[in-house]
Amino acid sequence: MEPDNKIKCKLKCEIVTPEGLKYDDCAIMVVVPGKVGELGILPRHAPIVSRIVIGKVMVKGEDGSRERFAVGDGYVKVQYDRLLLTVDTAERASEIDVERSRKALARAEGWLERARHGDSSVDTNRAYSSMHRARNRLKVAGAE
Amino acid sequence: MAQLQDISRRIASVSNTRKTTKAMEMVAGARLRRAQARIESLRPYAERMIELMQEVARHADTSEKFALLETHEEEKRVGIVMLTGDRGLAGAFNSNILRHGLELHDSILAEGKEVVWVVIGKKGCSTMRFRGHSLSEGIEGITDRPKYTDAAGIAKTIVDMYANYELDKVHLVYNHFKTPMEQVVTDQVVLPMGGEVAEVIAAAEAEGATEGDFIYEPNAAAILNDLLPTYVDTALYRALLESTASEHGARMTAMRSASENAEEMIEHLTLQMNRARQAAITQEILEVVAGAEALA
Repeated sequence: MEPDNKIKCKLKCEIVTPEGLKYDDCAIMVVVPGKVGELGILPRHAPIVSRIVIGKVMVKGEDGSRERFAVGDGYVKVQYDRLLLTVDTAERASEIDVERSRKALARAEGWLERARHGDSSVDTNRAYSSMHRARNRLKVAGAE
Repeated sequence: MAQLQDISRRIASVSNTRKTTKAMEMVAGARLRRAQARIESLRPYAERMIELMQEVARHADTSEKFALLETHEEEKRVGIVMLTGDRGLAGAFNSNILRHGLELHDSILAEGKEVVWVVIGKKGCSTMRFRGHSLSEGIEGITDRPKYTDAAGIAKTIVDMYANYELDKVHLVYNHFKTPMEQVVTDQVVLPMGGEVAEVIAAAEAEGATEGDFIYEPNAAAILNDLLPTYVDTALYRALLESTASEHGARMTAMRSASENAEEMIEHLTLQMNRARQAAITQEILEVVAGAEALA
Protein backbone atom coordinates (compact mmCIF):
# COMPACT_ATOMS: atom_id res chain seq x y z
CA MET A 1 0.00 0.00 0.00
CA GLU A 2 1.37 3.39 -0.98
CA PRO A 3 1.29 6.26 1.45
CA ASP A 4 -1.89 7.94 0.24
CA ASN A 5 -2.27 10.61 2.87
CA LYS A 6 -3.96 13.04 0.55
CA ILE A 7 -5.19 15.15 3.41
CA LYS A 8 -2.03 15.66 5.37
CA CYS A 9 -2.57 13.98 8.71
CA LYS A 10 -0.22 13.33 11.54
CA LEU A 11 -1.96 10.02 11.96
CA LYS A 12 -4.89 8.95 9.82
CA CYS A 13 -7.30 6.78 11.75
CA GLU A 14 -9.99 4.61 10.17
CA ILE A 15 -12.32 2.26 12.02
CA VAL A 16 -14.06 -0.21 9.70
CA THR A 17 -16.80 -2.66 10.69
CA PRO A 18 -19.11 -4.88 8.62
CA GLU A 19 -21.72 -2.17 9.08
CA GLY A 20 -19.52 0.47 7.50
CA LEU A 21 -16.90 3.08 8.31
CA LYS A 22 -17.29 4.21 11.93
CA TYR A 23 -14.47 6.74 12.10
CA ASP A 24 -12.32 8.38 9.47
CA ASP A 25 -10.33 11.37 10.59
CA CYS A 26 -6.97 12.72 11.65
CA ALA A 27 -5.64 11.94 15.10
CA ILE A 28 -2.56 12.53 17.19
CA MET A 29 -2.85 9.45 19.34
CA VAL A 30 -4.85 6.23 19.30
CA VAL A 31 -4.96 3.63 22.08
CA VAL A 32 -6.18 0.17 21.08
CA PRO A 33 -6.70 -3.06 23.05
CA GLY A 34 -4.11 -5.41 21.54
CA LYS A 35 -4.06 -9.09 22.29
CA VAL A 36 -0.85 -8.80 24.24
CA GLY A 37 -1.82 -5.58 25.99
CA GLU A 38 -2.89 -2.04 25.28
CA LEU A 39 -1.11 -0.36 22.41
CA GLY A 40 -0.64 3.38 22.24
CA ILE A 41 -0.05 4.47 18.66
CA LEU A 42 1.54 7.84 17.97
CA PRO A 43 2.53 9.37 14.63
CA ARG A 44 5.61 7.78 13.01
CA HIS A 45 4.93 4.47 14.69
CA ALA A 46 6.77 1.46 13.26
CA PRO A 47 4.66 -0.71 10.92
CA ILE A 48 2.67 -3.15 13.00
CA VAL A 49 -0.17 -5.63 12.65
CA SER A 50 -1.86 -6.81 15.82
CA ARG A 51 -4.88 -8.77 16.95
CA ILE A 52 -7.47 -6.66 18.73
CA VAL A 53 -9.60 -8.05 21.53
CA ILE A 54 -12.85 -6.81 23.05
CA GLY A 55 -12.08 -3.53 24.78
CA LYS A 56 -11.86 0.23 24.56
CA VAL A 57 -10.39 2.33 21.79
CA MET A 58 -9.48 5.93 22.50
CA VAL A 59 -8.83 8.36 19.68
CA LYS A 60 -7.31 11.74 20.46
CA GLY A 61 -8.14 14.10 17.63
CA GLU A 62 -5.88 16.85 16.31
CA ASP A 63 -7.89 19.42 18.22
CA GLY A 64 -7.26 17.52 21.44
CA SER A 65 -10.77 16.07 21.64
CA ARG A 66 -11.08 12.50 22.85
CA GLU A 67 -13.46 9.91 21.49
CA ARG A 68 -14.02 6.50 22.97
CA PHE A 69 -15.31 3.37 21.24
CA ALA A 70 -16.29 -0.04 22.53
CA VAL A 71 -14.90 -2.55 20.03
CA GLY A 72 -15.13 -6.28 19.45
CA ASP A 73 -12.65 -8.74 17.96
CA GLY A 74 -10.49 -7.65 15.07
CA TYR A 75 -7.15 -6.44 13.78
CA VAL A 76 -5.17 -3.25 13.60
CA LYS A 77 -2.61 -2.31 10.98
CA VAL A 78 -0.38 0.73 11.15
CA GLN A 79 1.79 1.82 8.27
CA TYR A 80 2.85 5.18 6.82
CA ASP A 81 1.06 7.07 9.60
CA ARG A 82 -2.18 5.38 8.66
CA LEU A 83 -4.01 3.32 11.23
CA LEU A 84 -6.58 0.81 10.04
CA LEU A 85 -8.75 -0.76 12.66
CA THR A 86 -10.82 -3.65 11.28
CA VAL A 87 -13.21 -4.92 13.96
CA ASP A 88 -16.48 -6.84 13.99
CA THR A 89 -18.24 -4.17 16.08
CA ALA A 90 -17.46 -0.60 17.10
CA GLU A 91 -19.76 1.67 19.05
CA ARG A 92 -19.08 5.26 19.97
CA ALA A 93 -19.32 5.72 23.74
CA SER A 94 -22.06 8.32 23.32
CA GLU A 95 -24.13 5.96 21.15
CA ILE A 96 -24.11 2.97 23.47
CA ASP A 97 -27.55 1.93 24.63
CA VAL A 98 -26.88 1.39 28.34
CA GLU A 99 -30.30 -0.12 29.04
CA ARG A 100 -29.87 -2.70 26.27
CA SER A 101 -26.36 -3.57 27.38
CA ARG A 102 -27.59 -4.11 30.97
CA LYS A 103 -30.27 -6.46 29.67
CA ALA A 104 -27.76 -8.34 27.50
CA LEU A 105 -25.46 -8.69 30.51
CA ALA A 106 -28.28 -10.03 32.70
CA ARG A 107 -29.29 -12.47 29.96
CA ALA A 108 -25.74 -13.78 29.51
CA GLU A 109 -25.32 -14.18 33.26
CA GLY A 110 -28.61 -16.07 33.33
CA TRP A 111 -27.34 -18.49 30.71
CA LEU A 112 -24.13 -19.09 32.63
CA GLU A 113 -26.09 -19.63 35.84
CA ARG A 114 -28.17 -22.27 34.08
CA ALA A 115 -25.04 -23.88 32.66
CA ARG A 116 -23.63 -24.13 36.19
CA HIS A 117 -26.73 -26.06 37.19
CA GLY A 118 -26.10 -28.62 34.51
CA ASP A 119 -28.16 -27.26 31.59
CA SER A 120 -26.21 -28.64 28.64
CA SER A 121 -28.25 -26.74 26.04
CA VAL A 122 -26.36 -23.54 26.89
CA ASP A 123 -23.53 -22.51 24.58
CA THR A 124 -21.14 -21.37 27.29
CA ASN A 125 -18.59 -19.93 24.86
CA ARG A 126 -21.21 -17.72 23.35
CA ALA A 127 -22.58 -16.74 26.75
CA TYR A 128 -19.12 -15.76 27.99
CA SER A 129 -18.49 -13.78 24.86
CA SER A 130 -21.75 -11.83 25.09
CA MET A 131 -21.18 -11.21 28.81
CA HIS A 132 -17.74 -9.90 27.98
CA ARG A 133 -19.09 -7.65 25.26
CA ALA A 134 -21.91 -6.29 27.39
CA ARG A 135 -19.51 -5.52 30.29
CA ASN A 136 -17.18 -3.78 27.88
CA ARG A 137 -19.96 -1.62 26.47
CA LEU A 138 -21.06 -0.61 29.95
CA LYS A 139 -17.51 0.16 30.96
CA VAL A 140 -16.85 2.31 27.91
CA ALA A 141 -20.16 4.13 28.39
CA GLY A 142 -19.06 4.79 31.98
CA ALA A 143 -22.09 3.04 33.45
CA GLU A 144 -20.36 0.40 35.50
CA MET B 1 -80.10 -7.49 -10.87
CA ALA B 2 -78.56 -10.28 -8.81
CA GLN B 3 -75.74 -10.63 -11.30
CA LEU B 4 -74.96 -6.95 -11.08
CA GLN B 5 -74.54 -7.13 -7.33
CA ASP B 6 -72.30 -10.19 -7.61
CA ILE B 7 -69.99 -8.41 -9.99
CA SER B 8 -69.74 -5.28 -7.89
CA ARG B 9 -68.99 -7.38 -4.84
CA ARG B 10 -66.18 -9.10 -6.73
CA ILE B 11 -64.78 -5.76 -7.84
CA ALA B 12 -64.69 -4.62 -4.22
CA SER B 13 -62.91 -7.80 -3.18
CA VAL B 14 -60.31 -7.62 -5.97
CA SER B 15 -59.58 -3.97 -5.26
CA ASN B 16 -59.02 -4.83 -1.60
CA THR B 17 -56.53 -7.48 -2.68
CA ARG B 18 -54.84 -4.91 -4.86
CA LYS B 19 -54.50 -2.56 -1.91
CA THR B 20 -52.70 -5.30 0.02
CA THR B 21 -50.37 -6.26 -2.81
CA LYS B 22 -49.59 -2.59 -3.53
CA ALA B 23 -48.73 -2.02 0.12
CA MET B 24 -46.52 -5.11 0.20
CA GLU B 25 -44.78 -3.95 -2.95
CA MET B 26 -43.97 -0.58 -1.37
CA VAL B 27 -42.75 -2.13 1.89
CA ALA B 28 -40.56 -4.61 0.00
CA GLY B 29 -39.17 -1.75 -2.08
CA ALA B 30 -38.20 0.25 1.00
CA ARG B 31 -36.61 -2.78 2.67
CA LEU B 32 -34.78 -3.64 -0.51
CA ARG B 33 -33.10 -0.24 -0.54
CA ARG B 34 -32.04 -0.70 3.07
CA ALA B 35 -30.67 -4.18 2.36
CA GLN B 36 -28.72 -2.89 -0.63
CA ALA B 37 -27.21 -0.12 1.49
CA ARG B 38 -26.05 -2.73 4.00
CA ILE B 39 -24.32 -4.74 1.26
CA GLU B 40 -22.56 -1.55 0.26
CA SER B 41 -21.39 -0.85 3.81
CA LEU B 42 -19.85 -4.30 4.08
CA ARG B 43 -17.62 -3.78 1.05
CA PRO B 44 -14.82 -1.74 2.69
CA TYR B 45 -14.61 -4.24 5.56
CA ALA B 46 -14.35 -7.20 3.17
CA GLU B 47 -11.70 -5.42 1.10
CA ARG B 48 -9.62 -4.56 4.15
CA MET B 49 -9.84 -8.15 5.29
CA ILE B 50 -8.39 -9.46 2.03
CA GLU B 51 -5.69 -6.77 2.05
CA LEU B 52 -4.74 -7.72 5.56
CA MET B 53 -4.67 -11.38 4.63
CA GLN B 54 -2.32 -10.69 1.72
CA GLU B 55 -0.06 -8.68 3.96
CA VAL B 56 0.02 -11.29 6.71
CA ALA B 57 0.30 -14.31 4.39
CA ARG B 58 3.42 -12.78 2.89
CA HIS B 59 5.13 -12.83 6.25
CA ALA B 60 3.61 -15.93 7.77
CA ASP B 61 5.36 -19.25 7.86
CA THR B 62 3.12 -21.01 5.35
CA SER B 63 4.86 -24.34 5.79
CA GLU B 64 2.62 -24.57 8.81
CA LYS B 65 -0.73 -26.14 7.98
CA PHE B 66 -4.00 -24.30 8.41
CA ALA B 67 -6.96 -26.56 9.16
CA LEU B 68 -9.43 -24.54 7.06
CA LEU B 69 -7.26 -24.62 3.94
CA GLU B 70 -6.65 -28.35 4.11
CA THR B 71 -8.72 -30.65 1.93
CA HIS B 72 -9.79 -33.74 3.84
CA GLU B 73 -8.48 -36.93 2.31
CA GLU B 74 -11.74 -38.75 2.67
CA GLU B 75 -15.00 -36.95 1.95
CA LYS B 76 -17.67 -38.60 4.01
CA ARG B 77 -19.89 -35.91 5.43
CA VAL B 78 -20.85 -32.88 3.37
CA GLY B 79 -22.55 -29.87 4.93
CA ILE B 80 -25.13 -27.80 3.07
CA VAL B 81 -25.83 -24.35 4.45
CA MET B 82 -29.04 -23.22 2.81
CA LEU B 83 -30.38 -19.67 3.10
CA THR B 84 -34.13 -19.21 2.66
CA GLY B 85 -36.57 -16.59 3.91
CA ASP B 86 -38.86 -16.46 6.94
CA ARG B 87 -41.84 -15.44 4.85
CA GLY B 88 -43.53 -16.50 1.66
CA LEU B 89 -45.25 -14.46 -1.06
CA ALA B 90 -41.95 -13.77 -2.74
CA GLY B 91 -42.36 -15.50 -6.07
CA ALA B 92 -39.95 -18.34 -6.67
CA PHE B 93 -37.42 -17.06 -4.10
CA ASN B 94 -37.74 -19.94 -1.62
CA SER B 95 -38.62 -22.69 -4.05
CA ASN B 96 -35.58 -22.05 -6.28
CA ILE B 97 -33.25 -22.43 -3.32
CA LEU B 98 -35.03 -25.51 -2.02
CA ARG B 99 -34.95 -27.14 -5.44
CA HIS B 100 -31.23 -26.57 -5.79
CA GLY B 101 -30.54 -27.71 -2.24
CA LEU B 102 -32.45 -30.94 -2.71
CA GLU B 103 -30.74 -31.65 -6.04
CA LEU B 104 -27.38 -31.14 -4.38
CA HIS B 105 -28.47 -33.42 -1.55
CA ASP B 106 -29.45 -36.17 -4.01
CA SER B 107 -26.20 -35.95 -5.93
CA ILE B 108 -24.18 -36.15 -2.69
CA LEU B 109 -26.15 -39.17 -1.53
CA ALA B 110 -25.64 -40.77 -4.95
CA GLU B 111 -21.89 -40.54 -4.36
CA GLY B 112 -22.39 -42.51 -1.17
CA LYS B 113 -21.77 -39.60 1.19
CA GLU B 114 -23.72 -38.20 4.08
CA VAL B 115 -25.41 -34.78 4.14
CA VAL B 116 -25.51 -32.48 7.17
CA TRP B 117 -28.10 -29.73 6.89
CA VAL B 118 -27.81 -26.22 8.26
CA VAL B 119 -30.93 -24.34 7.21
CA ILE B 120 -31.64 -20.67 7.80
CA GLY B 121 -35.14 -19.26 7.39
CA LYS B 122 -38.53 -20.47 8.54
CA LYS B 123 -39.64 -21.48 5.04
CA GLY B 124 -36.65 -23.72 4.46
CA CYS B 125 -36.77 -25.26 7.93
CA SER B 126 -40.44 -26.20 7.75
CA THR B 127 -40.19 -27.62 4.23
CA MET B 128 -37.15 -29.72 5.10
CA ARG B 129 -38.70 -31.03 8.32
CA PHE B 130 -41.93 -31.80 6.47
CA ARG B 131 -39.96 -33.85 3.99
CA GLY B 132 -38.42 -35.82 6.81
CA HIS B 133 -34.86 -34.46 6.75
CA SER B 134 -33.21 -33.98 10.09
CA LEU B 135 -31.51 -30.61 10.46
CA SER B 136 -28.24 -30.25 12.30
CA GLU B 137 -29.19 -26.58 12.78
CA GLY B 138 -32.43 -24.84 11.89
CA ILE B 139 -32.25 -21.11 12.46
CA GLU B 140 -35.32 -18.90 12.17
CA GLY B 141 -36.04 -15.25 12.64
CA ILE B 142 -32.75 -13.67 11.57
CA THR B 143 -33.27 -13.10 7.84
CA ASP B 144 -35.24 -9.90 8.24
CA ARG B 145 -32.26 -7.99 9.55
CA PRO B 146 -29.24 -10.29 9.69
CA LYS B 147 -26.59 -9.22 12.18
CA TYR B 148 -22.90 -9.87 11.88
CA THR B 149 -22.94 -11.74 15.18
CA ASP B 150 -25.62 -14.10 13.80
CA ALA B 151 -23.37 -14.92 10.87
CA ALA B 152 -20.33 -15.29 13.11
CA GLY B 153 -22.19 -17.69 15.41
CA ILE B 154 -23.29 -19.95 12.57
CA ALA B 155 -19.88 -19.76 10.90
CA LYS B 156 -18.18 -20.77 14.15
CA THR B 157 -20.30 -23.92 14.41
CA ILE B 158 -19.39 -24.93 10.85
CA VAL B 159 -15.72 -24.05 11.19
CA ASP B 160 -15.43 -26.06 14.42
CA MET B 161 -17.13 -29.06 12.83
CA TYR B 162 -14.77 -28.86 9.87
CA ALA B 163 -11.69 -28.55 12.05
CA ASN B 164 -12.83 -31.58 14.08
CA TYR B 165 -13.37 -33.67 10.94
CA GLU B 166 -17.11 -33.85 11.57
CA LEU B 167 -17.57 -32.24 8.15
CA ASP B 168 -15.34 -32.74 5.14
CA LYS B 169 -16.78 -30.13 2.81
CA VAL B 170 -19.31 -27.31 3.15
CA HIS B 171 -21.56 -25.84 0.48
CA LEU B 172 -23.28 -22.49 0.90
CA VAL B 173 -26.47 -22.21 -1.16
CA TYR B 174 -28.13 -18.79 -1.39
CA ASN B 175 -29.80 -16.32 -3.73
CA HIS B 176 -27.25 -13.90 -5.09
CA PHE B 177 -28.71 -10.43 -5.62
CA LYS B 178 -28.20 -9.35 -9.21
CA THR B 179 -30.98 -6.85 -9.84
CA PRO B 180 -34.28 -6.37 -8.02
CA MET B 181 -35.87 -8.53 -10.73
CA GLU B 182 -33.18 -11.15 -10.93
CA GLN B 183 -31.82 -13.48 -8.29
CA VAL B 184 -29.21 -16.06 -9.10
CA VAL B 185 -29.07 -19.26 -7.08
CA THR B 186 -25.44 -19.55 -6.04
CA ASP B 187 -23.66 -22.63 -4.78
CA GLN B 188 -20.35 -21.79 -3.18
CA VAL B 189 -17.94 -24.17 -1.48
CA VAL B 190 -16.84 -22.32 1.67
CA LEU B 191 -14.80 -25.10 3.27
CA PRO B 192 -12.12 -26.10 2.51
CA MET B 193 -11.36 -22.49 1.67
CA GLY B 194 -10.53 -21.98 -1.95
CA GLY B 195 -10.95 -19.20 -4.50
CA GLU B 196 -9.81 -15.79 -3.43
CA VAL B 197 -8.13 -16.90 -0.22
CA ALA B 198 -6.25 -19.81 -1.78
CA GLU B 199 -5.01 -17.45 -4.50
CA VAL B 200 -3.83 -14.92 -1.96
CA ILE B 201 -1.98 -17.55 0.04
CA ALA B 202 -0.51 -19.23 -3.04
CA ALA B 203 0.70 -15.88 -4.37
CA ALA B 204 2.31 -15.11 -1.04
CA GLU B 205 3.99 -18.52 -1.01
CA ALA B 206 5.31 -18.05 -4.54
CA GLU B 207 6.69 -14.66 -3.65
CA GLY B 208 8.45 -16.11 -0.65
CA ALA B 209 8.82 -14.42 2.69
CA THR B 210 9.91 -10.84 2.14
CA GLU B 211 11.98 -8.99 4.66
CA GLY B 212 9.53 -8.47 7.47
CA ASP B 213 9.42 -4.79 8.24
CA PHE B 214 6.17 -5.29 10.15
CA ILE B 215 5.89 -6.11 13.79
CA TYR B 216 3.32 -8.85 14.30
CA GLU B 217 1.56 -9.33 17.57
CA PRO B 218 1.44 -12.14 18.55
CA ASN B 219 2.95 -13.43 15.22
CA ALA B 220 2.04 -13.60 11.55
CA ALA B 221 0.98 -17.26 11.51
CA ALA B 222 -1.28 -16.82 14.54
CA ILE B 223 -2.93 -13.77 12.98
CA LEU B 224 -3.47 -15.63 9.72
CA ASN B 225 -4.92 -18.54 11.67
CA ASP B 226 -7.47 -16.15 13.18
CA LEU B 227 -8.12 -14.33 9.92
CA LEU B 228 -9.21 -17.45 8.05
CA PRO B 229 -12.33 -18.12 10.16
CA THR B 230 -13.09 -14.39 10.11
CA TYR B 231 -13.16 -14.67 6.34
CA VAL B 232 -15.78 -17.44 6.61
CA ASP B 233 -17.82 -15.18 8.94
CA THR B 234 -17.69 -12.40 6.38
CA ALA B 235 -18.62 -14.71 3.50
CA LEU B 236 -21.63 -15.99 5.42
CA TYR B 237 -22.68 -12.50 6.50
CA ARG B 238 -22.45 -11.33 2.92
CA ALA B 239 -24.55 -14.27 1.73
CA LEU B 240 -27.16 -13.45 4.39
CA LEU B 241 -27.33 -9.84 3.24
CA GLU B 242 -27.54 -10.88 -0.40
CA SER B 243 -30.29 -13.34 0.41
CA THR B 244 -32.29 -10.69 2.29
CA ALA B 245 -31.94 -8.22 -0.57
CA SER B 246 -32.95 -10.94 -3.04
CA GLU B 247 -35.97 -11.83 -0.97
CA HIS B 248 -37.23 -8.25 -0.92
CA GLY B 249 -36.50 -7.88 -4.63
CA ALA B 250 -38.39 -11.07 -5.44
CA ARG B 251 -41.30 -10.04 -3.25
CA MET B 252 -41.45 -6.61 -4.81
CA THR B 253 -41.54 -8.09 -8.32
CA ALA B 254 -44.11 -10.71 -7.39
CA MET B 255 -46.34 -8.15 -5.71
CA ARG B 256 -46.04 -5.76 -8.63
CA SER B 257 -47.28 -8.37 -11.07
CA ALA B 258 -50.03 -9.35 -8.63
CA SER B 259 -51.15 -5.71 -8.49
CA GLU B 260 -51.11 -5.51 -12.26
CA ASN B 261 -53.18 -8.66 -12.55
CA ALA B 262 -55.67 -7.29 -10.05
CA GLU B 263 -55.95 -4.08 -12.03
CA GLU B 264 -56.62 -6.01 -15.21
CA MET B 265 -59.26 -8.04 -13.47
CA ILE B 266 -60.95 -4.91 -12.13
CA GLU B 267 -61.06 -3.44 -15.64
CA HIS B 268 -62.54 -6.62 -17.02
CA LEU B 269 -65.14 -6.86 -14.26
CA THR B 270 -66.11 -3.21 -14.59
CA LEU B 271 -66.73 -3.72 -18.29
CA GLN B 272 -68.84 -6.76 -17.48
CA MET B 273 -70.77 -4.83 -14.86
CA ASN B 274 -71.50 -1.94 -17.20
CA ARG B 275 -72.74 -4.34 -19.86
CA ALA B 276 -75.01 -6.05 -17.38
CA ARG B 277 -76.32 -2.71 -16.14
CA GLN B 278 -77.03 -1.53 -19.68
CA ALA B 279 -78.79 -4.77 -20.47
CA ALA B 280 -80.91 -4.35 -17.35
CA ILE B 281 -81.84 -0.76 -18.30
CA THR B 282 -82.69 -1.77 -21.85
CA GLN B 283 -84.80 -4.55 -20.46
CA GLU B 284 -86.65 -2.15 -18.19
CA ILE B 285 -87.34 0.37 -21.00
CA LEU B 286 -88.65 -2.43 -23.17
CA GLU B 287 -90.94 -3.50 -20.39
CA VAL B 288 -92.24 0.08 -19.83
CA VAL B 289 -92.79 0.59 -23.57
CA ALA B 290 -94.53 -2.76 -23.90
CA GLY B 291 -96.73 -1.91 -20.91
CA ALA B 292 -97.67 1.51 -22.38
CA GLU B 293 -98.48 -0.07 -25.72
CA ALA B 294 -100.70 -2.63 -24.05
CA LEU B 295 -102.66 0.16 -22.33
CA ALA B 296 -103.05 2.25 -25.46
